[in-house]
Amino acid sequence: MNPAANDAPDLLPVHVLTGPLGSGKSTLLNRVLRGGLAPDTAVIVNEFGQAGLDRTFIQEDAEEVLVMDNGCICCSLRTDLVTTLMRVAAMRDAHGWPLRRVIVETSGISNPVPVLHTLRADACVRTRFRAGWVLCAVDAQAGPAALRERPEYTAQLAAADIAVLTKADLVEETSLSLLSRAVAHVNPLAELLRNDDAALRARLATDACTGPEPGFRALDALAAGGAAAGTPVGHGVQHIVLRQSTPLSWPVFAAWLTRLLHLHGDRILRTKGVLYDPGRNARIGVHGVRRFLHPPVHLQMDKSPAFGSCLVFITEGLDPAGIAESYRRLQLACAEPAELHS
Amino acid sequence: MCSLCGALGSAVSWEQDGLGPSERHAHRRREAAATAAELSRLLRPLRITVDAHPDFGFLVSFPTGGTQIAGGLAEVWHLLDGRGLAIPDPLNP
Repeated sequence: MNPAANDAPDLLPVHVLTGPLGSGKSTLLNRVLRGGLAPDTAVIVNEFGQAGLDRTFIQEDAEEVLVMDNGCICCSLRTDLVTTLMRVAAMRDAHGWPLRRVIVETSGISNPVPVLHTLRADACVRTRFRAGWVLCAVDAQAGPAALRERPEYTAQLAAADIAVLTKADLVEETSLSLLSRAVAHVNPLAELLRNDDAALRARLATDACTGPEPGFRALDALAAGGAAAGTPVGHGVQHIVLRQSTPLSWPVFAAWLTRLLHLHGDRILRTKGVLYDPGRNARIGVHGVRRFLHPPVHLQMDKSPAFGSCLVFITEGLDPAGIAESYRRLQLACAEPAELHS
Repeated sequence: MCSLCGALGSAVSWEQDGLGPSERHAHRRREAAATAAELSRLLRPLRITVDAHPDFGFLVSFPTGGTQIAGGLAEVWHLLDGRGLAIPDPLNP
């Protein structure tokens, strides 16, 4: 399935590159820029300390590198992010810069979700930029143990659309397989790339109006193959796949989902799904990270899918079976209209 | 900004977003009306009604006669919970 054309092609996608300290984010970014993305990419680097080491690694390769230092982008520097992005927009306007994307490299301890919220919440930023993909550098050398030991790592990976295994050439194939399985448990929606710079560049280069496509591709596989429901991983992370052959009205679903996320969004790491609404004769893709919801994507189908509607929830500290039961009640309530769906 | 009502421009609620340019205005108004109707149906036991407005999203009307503006669905839930109303939790009906 392919997302239909976005209605705002002039909005530049802002991709967030996240990952724990020492996971190889800057190296990965450098390789992607050197591979041909540098001329039309602006890079914003968030460094927690004042030394500015990442700037040293990246500056010679990118067309424009802006550094936000001395703070964490998700905590104390959100206003700075707005200012920095508007500087990028001003430079683009002033110099006719053929900019196609912005990549924000977060510090190793940052949560990417507040960055996404900033892109939506600021009145100026949202007229020029939109949320792109969240990329997470997964250190193959550190292995699955790091995922168990570092909660912020789990949050970064759970928010990712694309997980890139870095340092994959330094470990055995069996270790890579173990890590791949661990990544899929934390985030079955993420597309996993094994140090594949070309594939990553291709994703970033064709991102103009496609939205969060990799996750929808993963959703196809989940819906077709079936994933373990409610599988615990560590830090209380679980996921569940809900499949329904019966269609659902879009406004009914939207009210239910926004109510659910409003109350429990801090424990719902990811939401992804495709809904079929016969009243609108449309399949609508839904993609959320905690309480942040990307604009719904109206999907054009290459072929009829094997499922009617499919939803995936990744939760942390919340039994996803409760969501499944609530969704089942919603379906029943739609069949027999009631006052309050719950 | 509208000089008559002071609205700050067209608000796009999440569920109305993502439509193509050709269908943008007509669809968005229909989607907004459909969402408002669904919210009004959900909130009928509390005698709360929701209307769609092209400039500021939703207008929430309370039984006492008061009204409040919400830019989107998330804001609707936020303002209703802020008033301490008994809106059901999907996970704890």
